[in-house]
Order: sequence, then C-alpha cells, then structure tokens
Amino acid sequence: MNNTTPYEKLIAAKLEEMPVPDMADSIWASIDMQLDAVVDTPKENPVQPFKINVKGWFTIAGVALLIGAIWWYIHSQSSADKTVTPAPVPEKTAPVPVAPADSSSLYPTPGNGTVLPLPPLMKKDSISVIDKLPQQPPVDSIHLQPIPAIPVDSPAVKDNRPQERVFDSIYVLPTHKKPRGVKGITPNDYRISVQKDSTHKQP
Amino acid sequence: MAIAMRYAADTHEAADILTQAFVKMFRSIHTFDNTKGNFHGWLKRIIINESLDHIKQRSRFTSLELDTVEEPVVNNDIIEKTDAAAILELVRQLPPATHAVFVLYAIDGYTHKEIGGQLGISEGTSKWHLSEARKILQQKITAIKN
Repeated sequence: MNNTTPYEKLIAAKLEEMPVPDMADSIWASIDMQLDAVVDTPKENPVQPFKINVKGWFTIAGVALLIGAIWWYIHSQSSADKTVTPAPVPEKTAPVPVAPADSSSLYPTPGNGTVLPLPPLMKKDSISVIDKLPQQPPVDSIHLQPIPAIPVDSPAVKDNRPQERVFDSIYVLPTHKKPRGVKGITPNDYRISVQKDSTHKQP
Repeated sequence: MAIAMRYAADTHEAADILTQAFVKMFRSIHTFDNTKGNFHGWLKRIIINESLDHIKQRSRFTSLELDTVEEPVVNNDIIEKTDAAAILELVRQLPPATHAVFVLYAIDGYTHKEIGGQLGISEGTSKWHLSEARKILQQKITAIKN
C-alpha cells in the first residue's frame, strides 16, 4: 500500500503526456480580469461610515450603559449630599448686612431687613475640602424678594452723614435672666428636715 | 494546465483552477523564497492546493479505515496500449475523494501522511481511498480489455 504499483507509474507517465487544450488566451484573459478586479478594490474591508455592524452596536450600547451608570452615580451622590445637608435655620444664623442700592453705609432696620442664612454646613471630608467649593444654598423665592428701598428723603442720606448703627436683636444682650426651675417651688421646699426614722421605731 | 487537468472533473474546471492558482500566485509572489525551493515547485503546489480546494467544495471526505489490503492485478500492456485521454477519463470516473487521493499518491508522489494533512483525513482513510481507486481502476481496465 505504501508503494506505487507498475501500472500506476504507467498511468502517471501517460497523464504527463496528456495534451493540454488550447485555452491559454481565455485563461490569461480571465487572470487579467481577476487581477484588475483585485487592484480596483481599494481595501478588503472598506470603511463604511453609515453602516454599523453588530460589534458597533454592542460598543454603542456599552458606552450608553457606561454613561448612564456614571450619571446615576453622580445623581445619587448629589441627592445623598442634599439629604445630609441640614436645612438652614434662619433664626440661629447671623444676619448678613445687605448693601443698599446706593452703596452707602446704611444698614437695614431689623424689622425690614431680610435675614440671609449662612451657607449650609457641608459634610466635610478630605476630598470635598480639597476639590469642592462650598455649595451655595438652594435659591429660595423668599431670598429673591426685593428689599424695600430706603426713602431718599431721609436726612442721613441727604447729608451723607453716617447713620447710627443699629444692631439686630441677636446682638443685643438679654436684659433679664430667664427664670429657671418650676414656678411655685421655693427654696424652702428643698429644705431637709429631720423626721422619724422607721428603723428606730419602738416596738 | 496538465496538473489541473488531472484533478479537475472536466476541462472547464481545470481552467478555473488554473486561473485561481495564477491569481493567487501573482498576489503572493512577494512571499516566494527561492532558498526554500524552485519556482516551478512553488507554482505546482499552489495549483495542487487550488485543485484540492475545488474537490473539497464538491465532495465530502468521510473517515474510513482500511481493513484488508488487496493489491490489484492489472495488465500493464492494456495501459500502454490505451490512449492518455481514455486513461484520464477512467481516473475522472473515480469518486472525487478517491480520485484526489489516487492522483496525489500515484502521480504526484505524496505520502499518505501528506495526503491526510492536505485533505484533513487520517492516513488510514487515505489508504482506504487508494485501495478503492485501485480496485475500481482494475475493474474498468479489465472491462476495456474485454
């Protein structure tokens, strides 16, 4: 099986003598045409800008998911910050003097001035201290209310004299102490008096 | 052309094989290394590979193992007296896979191992196809004699 038989050698010799059909011209023309077609083709995989294959769609979907995840993360972070940040308490904050329209040294009266809250307490960590600027409080419509203008006919404005400084009630020290304890209880009620001890009772 | 004629089922397929082989040759001419062999051998290998690709397209190679080896007895006088075209026609009447194995082994001098690598079959399957080819050719040549 591993050797060629004599008749196979005869067959091989006969086939080598086999006359070749005269098809050279047609074969060369065909070769020329195919080679020209190969040369005319710019690239084997031409770039098609408006055609996205399956891989491209998967890539786009992946990028969209990534963007969505990043947006969700940032959104959740900001909402968490909002929940942690305490609501501004106007009563406990120091008033911020509001400059009048004519930028003179006039201060609004305590009754008429709008109390602006201080910036809310930020949840301080090392990252936010370094990277983030303190956030401004959410703009409320109350803060946007216009301050009533000071009448122009005021003598202080007319003479351009410095007006006497008026302090807010928060700066004014309380005049009297707030009573402590429960009303109706006098110091005599706290006096310790000797009473009969039950252990020394006579039988 | 003679090489392609041996593997092809007809003249037109031989012309197609030759065309494809020359196109491949021109496209990969830069890969030819004359230190590894001469140009004729390189071109012959391209033509044979192209022929086998054509045969693979129109036939399926099943895995078969040879049980017994039978050496056919063929009268050489009959072959000598027979025309080359008639012998080629006999070879072409073989089944495609058997035809390819017979031409590769008996005419182009491939070993069964090389045939197995070229056609993706085992050596045993190659031997089986060669045995089948010999049996069929013996019957056909005997028929010519009668």
